[in-house]
Amino acid sequence: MIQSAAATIRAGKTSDALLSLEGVSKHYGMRGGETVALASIDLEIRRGEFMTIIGPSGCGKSTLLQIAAGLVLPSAGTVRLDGHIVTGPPPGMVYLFQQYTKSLFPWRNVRANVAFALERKESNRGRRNEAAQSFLAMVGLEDFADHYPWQLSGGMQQRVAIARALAASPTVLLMDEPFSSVDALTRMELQALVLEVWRKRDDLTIVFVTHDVEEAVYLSDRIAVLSRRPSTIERIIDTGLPRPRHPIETRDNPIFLRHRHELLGTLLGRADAHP
Amino acid sequence: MPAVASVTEGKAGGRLRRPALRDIIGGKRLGFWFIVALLLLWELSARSGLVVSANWPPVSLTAVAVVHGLAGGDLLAALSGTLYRVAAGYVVGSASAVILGLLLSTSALARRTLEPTIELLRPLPIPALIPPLVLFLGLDDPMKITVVAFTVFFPVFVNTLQGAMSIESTFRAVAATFGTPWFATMRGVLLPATVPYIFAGLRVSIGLAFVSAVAAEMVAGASGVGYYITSMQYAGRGADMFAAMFLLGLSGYAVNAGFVAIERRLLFWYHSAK
Repeated sequence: MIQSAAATIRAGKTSDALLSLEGVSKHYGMRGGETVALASIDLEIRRGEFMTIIGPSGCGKSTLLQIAAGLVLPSAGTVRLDGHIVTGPPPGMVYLFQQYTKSLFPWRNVRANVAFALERKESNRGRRNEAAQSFLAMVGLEDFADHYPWQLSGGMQQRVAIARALAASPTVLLMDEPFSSVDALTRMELQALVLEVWRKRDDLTIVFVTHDVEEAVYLSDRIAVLSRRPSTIERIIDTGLPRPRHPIETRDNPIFLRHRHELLGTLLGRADAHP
Repeated sequence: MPAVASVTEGKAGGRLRRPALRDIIGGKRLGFWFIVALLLLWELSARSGLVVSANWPPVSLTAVAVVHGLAGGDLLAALSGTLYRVAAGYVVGSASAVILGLLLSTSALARRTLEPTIELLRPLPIPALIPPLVLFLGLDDPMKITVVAFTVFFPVFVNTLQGAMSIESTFRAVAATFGTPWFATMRGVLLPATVPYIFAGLRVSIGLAFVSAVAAEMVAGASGVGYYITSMQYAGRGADMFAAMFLLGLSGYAVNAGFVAIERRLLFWYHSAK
């Protein structure tokens, strides 16, 4: 079979798990008892796919993503990246934080913020800045390198954060509700940007957390639906939506509408059942 | 690629004009004129015989004493000695406080171990420290620099530690996700994020450094402005005594002004980002 590996993966014909969570659970010890945030999560993310984790707020989506990133240790279970057990943030996996105002360094200008991701790989400051500049160009911010993050709009700040994440050349990009605090149009622009970046880099795997059903269906190859606390994976949906996605037409596609309908039903129905 | 939204402008635009009268004597100038008035009152009270005392020379004679003291070298040497001790103690004390504060912020074990000791030492009045230090370090610079360093340490340490503990936890997580090594995280993330708090401690410490240096000079040894002031008091040379005080005040003012300028440059992001 002399087919390009990437094509096979993109067609979703492989079950080659790049990132896997096995029996992952998280408990928080508190006065007066324990809170079980995540009951027992088994999830496999395939190489090169765009996987979204969706669930009601407070279901532990972000915790799950932080565990996958090695930023938080699970109470039980294992996370494996490429077969290796994750005990801390592994090289090749980058976490993009929800709150860009808190993840960008206010004392560094935009270029230096992006260059931060390169400090381990490139010791020469000039070359680092050059590389940072090219990553800024990738997100359309090449003219704002000398600005400070707090001088930019929310959408632009999240672009800077995306450029910084890309600068680390990750194989897995973990995105935690990255567009939840920007306006609707900016959100669509950023979605297009993320899809473009993902399309250009064949080996890039994205795990995306959101509570927005449309966003989940629009972006993903597969969607994992989390239940309420204590959370488990309720179901996994293969969207089967054609790519490239189009901001307007894809949203009119019957497949899109069907998934949206179903997912909203699942999430809302559950909300009604347990107010 | 969609077009990029416009950049939010900084807080630009001029202030409103003040009324003309307040323009002349208002604002900062009002404070200046008040000082002039006080000096005039001083001069008049001494010249008019309102206060008759050898210890209350008119301000003009004090000014002459300042010039003589600086030109003659006596007062200049005392002042530069004091400034040297203040500077040395300040640097040693604040540098160790920043380093220790940052380190302790990363380790709960180290905090639990060291905090009781630090809390016990902190309330010690600095003058009480001088006699025992004299026994170990003598009367000269090593003792006085230690006294200043000890004084400066606590406010800087407490501010650094509390600041480093309260910085945005996402900053540390960002460093972690990019695999930033320990030292680079300390220097490149923790330290700059804590700088606003560190500066709060540093600013308080400037005044304290002067206080403790001069106090130490008054108690022990035979150098510095502290010693100069007490000697002039014994000698009944009021003008020289006031001249030394004047220069001390001026130095403190200058150092503080320099500090504020540095702070503005280093912390522009902190003030603008709010």
